[in-house]
Amino acid sequence: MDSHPPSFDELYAAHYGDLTVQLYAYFGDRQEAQDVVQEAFCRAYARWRTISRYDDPVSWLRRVAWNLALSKWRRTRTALAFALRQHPAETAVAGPTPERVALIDALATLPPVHRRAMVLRYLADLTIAEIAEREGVPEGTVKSWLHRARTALAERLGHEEGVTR
Amino acid sequence: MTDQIEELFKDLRTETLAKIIAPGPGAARVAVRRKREIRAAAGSVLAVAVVAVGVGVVRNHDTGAPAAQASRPPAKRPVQQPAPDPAVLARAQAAQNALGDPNRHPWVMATGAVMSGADYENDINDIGEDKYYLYVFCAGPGRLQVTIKADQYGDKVLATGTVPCQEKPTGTRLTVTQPHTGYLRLFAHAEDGAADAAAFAFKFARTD
Repeated sequence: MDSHPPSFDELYAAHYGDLTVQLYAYFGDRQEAQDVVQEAFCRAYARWRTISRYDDPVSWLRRVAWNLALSKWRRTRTALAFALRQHPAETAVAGPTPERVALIDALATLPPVHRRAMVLRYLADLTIAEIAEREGVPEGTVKSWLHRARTALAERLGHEEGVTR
Repeated sequence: MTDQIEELFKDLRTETLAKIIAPGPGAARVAVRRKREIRAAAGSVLAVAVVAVGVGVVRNHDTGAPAAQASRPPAKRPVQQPAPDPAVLARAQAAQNALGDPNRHPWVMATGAVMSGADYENDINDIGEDKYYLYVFCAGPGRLQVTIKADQYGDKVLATGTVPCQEKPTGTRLTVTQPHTGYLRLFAHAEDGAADAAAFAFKFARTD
C-alpha cells in the first residue's frame, strides 16, 4: 500500500484529462467540461488537507465535478449545448472526427442514467459494482442499463451488437 | 461486448485528451488564493470592528460605564454592546486603510486586530511555498515586535522585525520565505504602551 498520499499536482496530472473526457461525453461540450473540472480541482485544493487523506480522493473529485456540471447544465442550458444534442455532425468542438461527433450525439439520445452508466463504465473505468454503489441501484439494474444503452448506440451508430459479456 | 462501441469510447478518450489544454494545478491555486484574498479583504474590516467593539466594552466598563451598566455585577457581560472606544476604532481604521487598495496592490491574505493585551498570535494556513513581503501597519502608541514562525508548531523563525506604532502608520516591510505550502504563524508582542492601545493590520503580498 502506498503510504504517501498523492500530491495535488499528481492528482491533477493523473485525472484532469479523464474527468474532462467523461463530462464531455455526457454533456457534449468540451470547454464547459474543462471549466467544470477545473472548478472541481479548485474545490479540492481549497480542502486539500482533508481530501488528500481520503482513501479515494478521485471519487470525491468525480462526484464534485459531476454535481457541478449537473447544476450548471440545469441552470444555464445554452443554445449551443442544446444544438449539440439536437443536431448531428458539424457544429461545436474543434475538429473532432465524424465518428467522435456521432458517438457524442448518439450518447445524447440515451436516457441520462443509461448515458451516465456508459460514461462511467467505458471512460471512468468503474466496475458495475462501483457504478451500482454510486447510483444507489442493484448491480443487475446497472447491467440492464448498459445492455440497453449498448443496443441503442449500436443501432444508432450502425454497428452490429455483439454478445454482451 | 460491443467491441466496436468500446473502441469508439477508447478513440474518443484518446482524441479528446490530445485536444485538452489543461489550465494546470497552478491556476487552481491562484483561483483559490484570489477567493481567499477577497474574503480576507471583506472580512478584515469586520474583524477589526468586532475586536474594537470588544475592547470598547472593556474600557467603558473600567472607566465608569453608563448607569444602566454600572448597576450590573462586574462579572456579567452586558447584553448590549456599548459604543467602541472612538480612539481605538480610529486606530483600527487607520491601520486598515494603510493596507491600501487590493485591486491596485493585491495581497495574498490580510487581516487586522487591536492589541488586546500584550501578545497576539495568528495561525495562517495554506500559504503557498513562495517568497512574500509582509507589511505591518500599527496605529497608536508604542511598537510591536513581530515574529513569523514556520508551520503550526516549532520555533523556526522565518522573519522578525520591529514595527513602530504611529498615529498615521507608515508600515514596516519584512521578507518572508515560506519553505513549503502550509501553515505559518504570526506573533506580535506589544511594547512601550502598545498593549491594549494600538491597532494594527498586516498583509502578505507577492514579491513579483
